[in-house]
Amino acid sequence: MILDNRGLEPPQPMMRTLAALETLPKGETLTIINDRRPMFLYEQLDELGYLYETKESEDGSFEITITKG
Amino acid sequence: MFPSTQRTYETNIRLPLSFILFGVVAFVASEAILLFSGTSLVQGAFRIPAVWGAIHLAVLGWALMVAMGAMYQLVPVVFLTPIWNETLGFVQFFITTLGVLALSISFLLEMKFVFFAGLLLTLGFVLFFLQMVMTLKNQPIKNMMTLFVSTALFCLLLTVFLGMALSFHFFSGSEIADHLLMLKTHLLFGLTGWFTLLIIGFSYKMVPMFSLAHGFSMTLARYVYTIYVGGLAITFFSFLTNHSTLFTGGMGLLFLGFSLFSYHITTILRKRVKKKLDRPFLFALFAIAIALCLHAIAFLFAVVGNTASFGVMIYGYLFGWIILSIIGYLYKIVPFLWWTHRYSKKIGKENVPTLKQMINEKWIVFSFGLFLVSLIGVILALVISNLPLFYIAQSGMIAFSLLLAGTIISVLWK
Repeated sequence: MILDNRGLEPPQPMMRTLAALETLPKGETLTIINDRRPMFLYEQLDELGYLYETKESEDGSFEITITKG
Repeated sequence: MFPSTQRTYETNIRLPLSFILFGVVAFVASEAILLFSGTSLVQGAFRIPAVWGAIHLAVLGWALMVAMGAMYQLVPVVFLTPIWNETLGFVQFFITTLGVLALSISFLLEMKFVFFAGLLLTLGFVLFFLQMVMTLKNQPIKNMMTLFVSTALFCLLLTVFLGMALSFHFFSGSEIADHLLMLKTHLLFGLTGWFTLLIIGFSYKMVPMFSLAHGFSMTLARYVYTIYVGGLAITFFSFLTNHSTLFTGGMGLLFLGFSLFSYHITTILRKRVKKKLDRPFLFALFAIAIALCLHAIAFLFAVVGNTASFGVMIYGYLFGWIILSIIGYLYKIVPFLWWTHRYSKKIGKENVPTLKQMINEKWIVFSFGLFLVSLIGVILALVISNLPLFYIAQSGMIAFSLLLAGTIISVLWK
């Protein structure tokens, strides 16, 4: 599943991501595309125990692949 | 500036960081100077050069510099538009820093020079005002926050020009207009205008962000704005006409407006997803509660005609509301800024610290306690005119400012 959070006002990107993660089956991955590095999302993901990888795209946006642990 | 393909609007970290680092150091210096003015302060003598020097160093060198630094960081995030010109930002930083230093030294050494330092400072603030207006102009969709922040900026400009006029009175020995009228308006537009409207405006974004609240209504904000700004206007007219009933009306409206704001914030918090809130953010929320009490007390004082206590009230307002809010948000902004600068390129490649590891929360809670106890101590000392208590409490404040500066600077070593 891919979620494009670009152009959204904070905290929309984080809210959408957390909502999508809630319905995601365990072991599945969610990829989000954000304008900025989602600093506070990383905090929440650490708290929830999810694994994630960040990749910076050519246009300056960030792609984060989250695996529901 | 920004290439057309770039969608991210992150400010060069050196800009906000410069303001913040200068700010925390200025805070320590201002608290130390206040300690030495103890004998005057406990006798209710606030209107003396040494106290003006310390207060302006605290208000301009600490609170305002940090507010400007935070705005350079947060305006792109909150208003979805990049800073108009970063180079101008650095120029403005240097001019304002020089201006603040010159102003503080002038207050302490030679009142006549305050006017010239003030000219330099005014230039710095005009540049800041220009920067923010040009930045906000480019905001794609304007909203209530734009209105609050724009009005706040307008109040800042008025405050600065009034300050210039006041310093001109000392320089020339003659008055442009009634000195007391200008002084009261200077304080009104500076504290309840600029700082309060700015914090209210940004709170409307910071509170949902840090509590992960959504689905709340912003309708109340329109009433908050209208009533609060109305209160500012009425209070100003009461100064102009020297009308105590109008003054009471103004204080009443400000209290009503702020009560509505406090209520609105609680409705936003009720819609939050994050159950356990960060300690620094809780300080900022606590500051709102303090401000609400102070607005109530100001209204009560106005009703009973007690204007003598406004000096201590203003001190409480500056530290308990404005500075406490700034400290709360600073503890969130600085780790974020530094993490982005140090580690954002590294994530996924090495073991990078989390945001929480950047700053020691236990120290934060302890420092908050120290701040609160010291603040209450100082206010009590001023109210009962007790010098020993003032020295003890103010020493606590100095210790707090050193702890704050140390904590913020230590983030840079992470």
